[in-house]
Amino acid sequence: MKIILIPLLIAAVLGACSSNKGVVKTELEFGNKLAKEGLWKEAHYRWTKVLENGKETGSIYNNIAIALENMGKFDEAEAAYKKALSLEPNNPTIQGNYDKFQKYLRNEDDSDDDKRGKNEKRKRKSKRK
Amino acid sequence: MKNVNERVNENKSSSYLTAALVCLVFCVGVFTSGCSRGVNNRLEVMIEMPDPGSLNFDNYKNIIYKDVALESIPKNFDPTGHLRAFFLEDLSRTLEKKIKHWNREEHSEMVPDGLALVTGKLKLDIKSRSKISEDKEEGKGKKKFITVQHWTMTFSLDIKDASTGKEIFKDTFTAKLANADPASVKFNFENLFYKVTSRFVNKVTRTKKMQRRHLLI
Repeated sequence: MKIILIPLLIAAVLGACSSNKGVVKTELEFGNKLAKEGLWKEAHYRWTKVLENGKETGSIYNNIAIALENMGKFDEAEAAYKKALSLEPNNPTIQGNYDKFQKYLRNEDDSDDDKRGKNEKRKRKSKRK
Repeated sequence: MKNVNERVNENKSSSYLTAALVCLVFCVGVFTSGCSRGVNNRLEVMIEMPDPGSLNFDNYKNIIYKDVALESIPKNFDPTGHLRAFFLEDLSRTLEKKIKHWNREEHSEMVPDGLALVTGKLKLDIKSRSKISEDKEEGKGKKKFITVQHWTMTFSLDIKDASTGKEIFKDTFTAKLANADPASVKFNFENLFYKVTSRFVNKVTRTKKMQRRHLLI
């Protein structure tokens, strides 16, 4: 009987912990949705709230850095990227974003992102019409 | 007929089996959640980023324009009005920020936090030259000497953060006008002033560029 109870107890404790994680997850997902819609200030607010709840991950700092880039707060974005990389040093996505950010600041960005982005924007507008 | 010991052994083994199954399910759950945490899902987004060379005036509540220093300006012409109109009205409209004119009594005791100070120097270099001009109206192409001017305007601008004293923008813009009529001082000045201020505005305003990034979800 004891053997069955121990894993069940552990599961119950983990379940209780996950209720806080649930709130964090909701904020995180809501922030992602807002970012998708281009509402970066609101998304930034949601993600910083996740940090206030004690969930510090490289992913959150990465997303915050992107929001800060969009707002033109380059110094703060740099700090957020550095924090993200200190938490997840081997994450290729964070490293990739940070490299592109640094290239952009040095005016060395030779990607076709600007053209591509503007085309996408135009398409979205014409679809709406 | 099984004896009591055998039955007890059977019960024990079945409870061990159940416990093992529960443990297995639990471990699989923990393992999969661990794996899902290890792999980050990415979401590609396009963001509109301000040009890094442009100025971010969002951090400044107050922008104050202090009259720029004037050098080598024709004696019968005062460009102060043009300069004030550009900074206090045109630039203010472009930046969507109120720009106030420096007033010693009002602003000398102002809290420097969130204050940007715009100042600079405007210099004119006017060179007069004689030129042979053909008057075609009289038919025979009568030639005569006329005086023309070559104007060069140099506009140096300096924007400082009043709280730190740090320069947040410093640049010099130059424009030239050849064969200008010496009688049209106002026209010549406006022509060059429009050129230098347009360049300044293009540089200072926040043009945006699209950039691709990846969110981690």
